[in-house]
Amino acid sequence: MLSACLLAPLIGAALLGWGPKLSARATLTLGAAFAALPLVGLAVVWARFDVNGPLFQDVTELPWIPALGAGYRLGVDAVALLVASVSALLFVIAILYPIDHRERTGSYVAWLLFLEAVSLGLFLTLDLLMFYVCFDLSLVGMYFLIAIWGHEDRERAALKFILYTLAGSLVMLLGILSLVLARDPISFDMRVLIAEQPLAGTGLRASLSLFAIVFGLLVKTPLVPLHTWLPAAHVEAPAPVSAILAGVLLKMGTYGLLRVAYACMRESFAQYAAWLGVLAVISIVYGALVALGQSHIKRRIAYTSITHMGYTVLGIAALAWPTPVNAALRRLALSGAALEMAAHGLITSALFLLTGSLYARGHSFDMHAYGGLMQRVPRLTAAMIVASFASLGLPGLAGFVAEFQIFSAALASRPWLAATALLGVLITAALFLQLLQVVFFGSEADHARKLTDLGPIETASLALLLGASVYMGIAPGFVIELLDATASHLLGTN
Amino acid sequence: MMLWALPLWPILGGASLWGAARVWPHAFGRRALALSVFVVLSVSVLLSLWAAVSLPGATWDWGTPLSPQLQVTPQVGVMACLISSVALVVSVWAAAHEELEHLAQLLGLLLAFVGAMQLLVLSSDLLSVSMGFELVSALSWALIVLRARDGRAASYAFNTVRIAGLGLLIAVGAALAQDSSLAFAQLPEVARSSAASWLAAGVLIAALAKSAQLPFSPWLFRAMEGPTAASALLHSSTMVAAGAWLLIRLQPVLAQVGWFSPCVLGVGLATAIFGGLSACLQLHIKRVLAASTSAQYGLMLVAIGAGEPGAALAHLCMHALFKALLFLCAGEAIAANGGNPSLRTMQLGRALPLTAAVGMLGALALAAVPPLGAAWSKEQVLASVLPLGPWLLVLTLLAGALSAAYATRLQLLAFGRQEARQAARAPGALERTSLLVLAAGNLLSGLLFLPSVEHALSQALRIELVHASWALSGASLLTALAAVGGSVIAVRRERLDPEARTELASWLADWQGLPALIEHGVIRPVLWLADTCARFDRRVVDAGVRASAALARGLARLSATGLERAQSALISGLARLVESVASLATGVERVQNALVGALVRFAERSAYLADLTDREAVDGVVRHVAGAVTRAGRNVPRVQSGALPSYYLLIVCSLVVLGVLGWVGR
Repeated sequence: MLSACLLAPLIGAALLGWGPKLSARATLTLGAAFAALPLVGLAVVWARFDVNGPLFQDVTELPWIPALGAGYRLGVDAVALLVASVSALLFVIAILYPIDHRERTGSYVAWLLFLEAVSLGLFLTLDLLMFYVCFDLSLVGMYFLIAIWGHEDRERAALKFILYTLAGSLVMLLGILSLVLARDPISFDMRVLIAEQPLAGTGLRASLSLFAIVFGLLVKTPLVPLHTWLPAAHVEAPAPVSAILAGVLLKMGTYGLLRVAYACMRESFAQYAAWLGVLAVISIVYGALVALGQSHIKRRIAYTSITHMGYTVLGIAALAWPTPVNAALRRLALSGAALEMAAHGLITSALFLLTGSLYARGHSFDMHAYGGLMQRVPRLTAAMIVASFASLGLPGLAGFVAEFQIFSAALASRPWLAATALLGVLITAALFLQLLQVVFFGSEADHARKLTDLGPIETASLALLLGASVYMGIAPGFVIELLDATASHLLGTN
Repeated sequence: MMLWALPLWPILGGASLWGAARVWPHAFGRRALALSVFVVLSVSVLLSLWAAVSLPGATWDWGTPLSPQLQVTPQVGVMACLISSVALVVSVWAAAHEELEHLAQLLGLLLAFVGAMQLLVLSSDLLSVSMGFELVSALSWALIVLRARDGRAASYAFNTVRIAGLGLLIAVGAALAQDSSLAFAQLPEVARSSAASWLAAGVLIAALAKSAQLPFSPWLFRAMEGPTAASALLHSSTMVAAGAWLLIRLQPVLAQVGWFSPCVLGVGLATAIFGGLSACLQLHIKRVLAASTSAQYGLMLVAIGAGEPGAALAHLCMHALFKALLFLCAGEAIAANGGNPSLRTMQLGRALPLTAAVGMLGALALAAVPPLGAAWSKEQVLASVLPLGPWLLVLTLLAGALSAAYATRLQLLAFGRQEARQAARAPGALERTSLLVLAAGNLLSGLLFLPSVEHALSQALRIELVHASWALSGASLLTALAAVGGSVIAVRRERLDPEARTELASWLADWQGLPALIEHGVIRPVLWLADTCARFDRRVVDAGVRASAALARGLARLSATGLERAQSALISGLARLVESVASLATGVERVQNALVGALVRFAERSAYLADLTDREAVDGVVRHVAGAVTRAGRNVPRVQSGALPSYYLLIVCSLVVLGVLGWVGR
């Protein structure tokens, strides 16, 4: 079933990339259909996920390079399932969301499908080599999407993105090799690595390997001060690609932190988790402050991503750091971090799509170029208000449940550190309200009169994203139950 | 589960009203709207009565340890009934009074707001109470934005009350740190533990921010930009009440923390006095009432700090009744004054006789003149501080005297009878009915002076009421009457022209300069910091990245010659590979060089280190890899797209092989 989730978008990508040329409409429909197939597959996996079963379920295994202990291995825990499902949903929406395809609809959709396949590959794999390969291939897909369909300064931004993250991933490779080689015989199987913890007790080597892996992942997440590629890439990327970048690619960093850095190297991760927490808090406050200082709407939202990924990393750190407090808190931290990944995926993607719609109408990203749009574009305004409040953590929406769990776990064990991060939460609220006020309220800007409201596809896409985040906000119980099952395995309390 | 209907019903009702008015905009005239809100909130009142009688509980299972819980106690039941019934009157008045544009949306928001407040009041754990806190904040933001158009005032208010939500989060952390659940019932253990101060501090911050106590008070002035009906609801039984309500509920728990009670008492007393001063000099009718709200909640905090939450609850209920009435009167006065909220030009006593009369009743309640219920509850507050010493009693009496003074001034200026003028707009039948219903409520509250009623109440609510002695009641009444008299004289001599007003008066009227302090001490520095960080981020942090790219380029140039063959083979192989990759991304020469440079340096270093450790073995590997890479690079056709993935696969694989061979070689 999981293999089908990878194959469907790959076949779609091949078909649309090299197959016969279709009309733009047919291409989009076909592409969306291929993109939606994994969603169906993942729904089946959701349905048969057994909370009392093993950590990884629906496992598929084929030999690939037996000499290196690398194989084609797929399987899911609750975190992977959640993140993969949100990603698949985002790809369907990204393909359909209207942008200027520059007459190359076929290759645009093909690249998105390719990116979907490698992203799902990354989230669903149980093999560290395949994880790494997917990690790098995702950069390639994203590179072309930004470089071909981006805004004015697209090539420069795309190159900066790929160089920066590639440098990070090369460092990560060294760490991965050191981890894998520590076991005899070599194995890239994550289940083996999680069970045997090959680097445990090797002191300096374990620390250096951890640093290398965490460095690579933090570039992708990104945390301050490794973040400067992010605003550049977001600003130049077309809106749906920005949504994918924020909703899927950034998750690879935090997902890797959980799956590789935490699960496979638990001992050394716990040793440095408190420092990771400090870094996360710096990112939260700094990201929020810098975002408040931006009048470019997309840059502003890009920096709030750094704040939100900071929440996630804070949750992951709280999952691992040494504390006298009980396992229930660690469980809370894990489910908070995983939910934050999903919530940020849904909400920030919606914000980026909305920014794209705004740009398509007003041709400007400067928030001071707008004003008083509330009367002209009520649907766009309503969607933006809901998405903003979701992003600043209003109850009833997905972000609240995640942030509540992360912060309560962090505050319970490191109150001063987490209380500092609350400043970032406060500033985030201020910056979204300021954005709403400048763009949608107040006196009407001259060219606001010409703007048209959201079209049907835009409305439907946003309704889907925001609806999903409302659902997760009101009834998070079913996800939390699954996440708890994964947590008990990882924390060894089952 | 039926208990969830109490918060959900008005929320769903509000949402449907909003939706229905969008779909059929012409079907919803004033009458239809008034009828809709009347029906929805009447059901709410019935639900609250049912809850108050049968005291149910409910849980919403999210998985441990976080699951929102509701539990009705007798006190909760009284609050729920109070909220529903005040909201019923205010909403019907709003349907009759507020501008027709966006009226359905306004009423929809008011209904949803009532639901959120019910959630807050019913909740019996920290999670659901913080959900309630955040929801009422967001809805009050929407209420202000809907009319004022200017989001600035709304944002100011929201940002301040957001602090309340974060304070609750701190309290949650403290509870979890002690391995406790979030249920109120378990908090006493937390309050005895080492996390007690965090718990108390979190709850205190939440309550002070929400109840507009010092130093958070100025947000209430900004919130006055919203529609009057919203203010009437926010200030009487909802929103602002949330903070005091939380303290009333948790007082028995938090009183165990040593510093908590004195702190609550001090802040409450300070707010009551400074708020009273502001109200005595304000010229904006709604701001007089807003400052008075802060001051009255300050009095409730005094009672809580003195260890008598029952007295605070009593005053909260009485305040809700007369403050709702006063706001509705203020709304009528502003409308009659042509939309101008300034007290300077009102004198509407002859133009609006009925409003003036019920306004008088409200003012008497605010001044705590017997036999109104508000006088009874103020005596409760005074009796609660009596055991704590004469100074506190004197200061509390002073705060009470101030409220009598500004109530008198408000009534004289707004509804004076000196001028015979026409009202720009007179209240209709529905509005008059609403005013009369609230006035009747205030009159009935006077029954509490009967000892039997008082006794029955304290039995039913399981709260302890303090018995006020005759001397105390006399002192309270005398100071109030003296303040009324003083105020009558002062108003005659007060110069209301803006030119004639002294700077001192304006300064005193606006929270004694606190808003300016917040502006210059908090808001501007934060904005400045944000700007600075944004510049720093662009110039310095990113500059590091750009500089390392430039450095790599320079090093690449320096090292072009004079290195060993193996190295240069590797370098050139990789460089060619990278070049062909980069050339796909046409026209970005500079950064291409950086890529080349970076990889050159990386290759160089690794090759050099490898060379040092084991020249022979590694050299061979390096040459092999370089050769293979170069050949592969030549062979792969230069197509526009699709090639880059395979190049990357190649890099990945060759590095993997390199690593593996390096390990084997060791």
